Amino acid sequence: MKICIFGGNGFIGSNLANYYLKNNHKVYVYTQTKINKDLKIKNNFKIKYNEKNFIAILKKKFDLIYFLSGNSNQETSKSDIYYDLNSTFNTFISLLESVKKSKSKPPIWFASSVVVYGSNNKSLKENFERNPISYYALTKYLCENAGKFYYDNFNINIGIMRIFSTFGPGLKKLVVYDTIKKINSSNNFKVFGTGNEIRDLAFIDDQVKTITLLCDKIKKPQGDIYNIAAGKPYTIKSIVKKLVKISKKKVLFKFTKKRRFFDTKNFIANKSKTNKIIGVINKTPINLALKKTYNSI
Amino acid sequence: MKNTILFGGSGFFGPIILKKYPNIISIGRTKPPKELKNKHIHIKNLNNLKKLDSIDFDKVIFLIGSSNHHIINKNINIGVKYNFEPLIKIMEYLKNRKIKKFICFTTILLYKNEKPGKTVSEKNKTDPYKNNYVFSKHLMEEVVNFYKKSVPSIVVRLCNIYGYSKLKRPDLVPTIMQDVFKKNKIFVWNTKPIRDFIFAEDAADAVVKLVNSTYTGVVNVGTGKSFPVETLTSIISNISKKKILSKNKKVSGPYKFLTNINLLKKITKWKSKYTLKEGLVKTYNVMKNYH
Repeated sequence: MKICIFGGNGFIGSNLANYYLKNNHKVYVYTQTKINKDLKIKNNFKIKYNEKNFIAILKKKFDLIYFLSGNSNQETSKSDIYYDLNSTFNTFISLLESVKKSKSKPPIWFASSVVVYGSNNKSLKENFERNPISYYALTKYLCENAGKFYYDNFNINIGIMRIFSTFGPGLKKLVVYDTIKKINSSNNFKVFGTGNEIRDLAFIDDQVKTITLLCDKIKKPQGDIYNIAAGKPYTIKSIVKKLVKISKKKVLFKFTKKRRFFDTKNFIANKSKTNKIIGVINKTPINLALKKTYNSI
Repeated sequence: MKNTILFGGSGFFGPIILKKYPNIISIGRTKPPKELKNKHIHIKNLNNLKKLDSIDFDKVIFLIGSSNHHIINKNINIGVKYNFEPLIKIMEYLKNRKIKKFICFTTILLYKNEKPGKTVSEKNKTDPYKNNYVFSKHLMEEVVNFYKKSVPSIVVRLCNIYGYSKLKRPDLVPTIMQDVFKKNKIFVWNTKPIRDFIFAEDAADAVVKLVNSTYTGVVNVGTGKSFPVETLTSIISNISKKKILSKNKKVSGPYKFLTNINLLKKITKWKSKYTLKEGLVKTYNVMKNYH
């Protein structure tokens, strides 16, 4: 297959690219920010995201497109909505307009996020009401809407992946990375939050497996949304304890008990819709996944 | 009492509200028609609204946007540029002000209209993906919903509004009115569709009552009475003594649309003052002076 990954220099994008390359697919990666030189991907290009460039790219006649571009961090977008709108929403609309005008109409999978659900402590199903509370979440939600709109009106096959918290080697943010860094640099540290927050933490290899299987099974996505998650929730406290155990270090930690406005208590995925399509995958055991991540930092 | 400000005072609906309510302050890059007595504050665009910092206001009527569905349906970027982006800009400013009420306008076309012939209330399902124009209005509603905690808002889903205007507009009544003063034979796409036509002066009263209410959320604004386009063309034909003929072309919206305005009545006790005939006669008489 010939695969195009917009945002292929990012954490999930680069792992997807490497998976497809290992499996002898032809992969083209594009970024609107900067090329990660550590990635050994031959076709890795920095371009301006606009209709003209998208139309030129579409002439390569891809079998599959992933759109993982745009801001990937709620923290960076908390004070500037235009950052999210310009880097994610406007560019996604440009891509969809280009596909609309192009002869080549490969399926497109858009990377949305668990944050579109907002505060909801239930096990989250794709049809639950959305309640975005940050600019990042709002933008992802608007893109989901755009996906549905372009499928309904222009017969462009679009699938939406609502990606839950993902960790693994290469990711330099979020709780797993932050905690490992703290364990390695201090024997007495603080962790953000209360520790009782629940997250559906998924290991990157399992997420790639889920995404690639889903896109393989659904050749013509019809604007539908799928949770991409491990399906097994953990408290942050239990994750920190596991990491401390893996480190074999004697460290003390406590929680700040602070919350940012966009922090939600729990994110628990209901994976039944996705599992119905791909079946239940063999997941990497959490201790092994954390150990691999720990050793990579 | 703090002021009410209005964005879009040089468009179609803005001047009608401003004329009826001279205490409302107009904000925008273009002045409202010169016969209006309202105070006007000039701003270059919505990117820098610092000029508003010194104005004591707590209610906002936001009419900036495009209702030209013909153009937006050809190009989604125009819907995003004229309907979605200005709303983001104003919300970003207003979230830091203490606002009692913000009103903006979407469309009755958002409704699914599953059972033509039955009235459509705010509880009815929507179909936001039916075309570019409706989708751009849907995006507006999502934006309003996102800011609802910091900016208490009302989204008006407006029916077919008509009235006098010097502007060239794509809507049915202004198009016919412009034609009756220039042509002998006037054509409309189709005279069969049944619509809720609201006279702009009546709509202005409803909007001002809403902005002064405590309600937040979505509300239909129409008369609650629907007429076939044929009734409207025959009234205009009688006043103008011009023939108005149907091209019998397919229309994009539903053939029969009946609006439920119980919520509007409950919140505001508003009633329309003009019958369809009275509204059209006034529109004709005012527009006659423009030609």
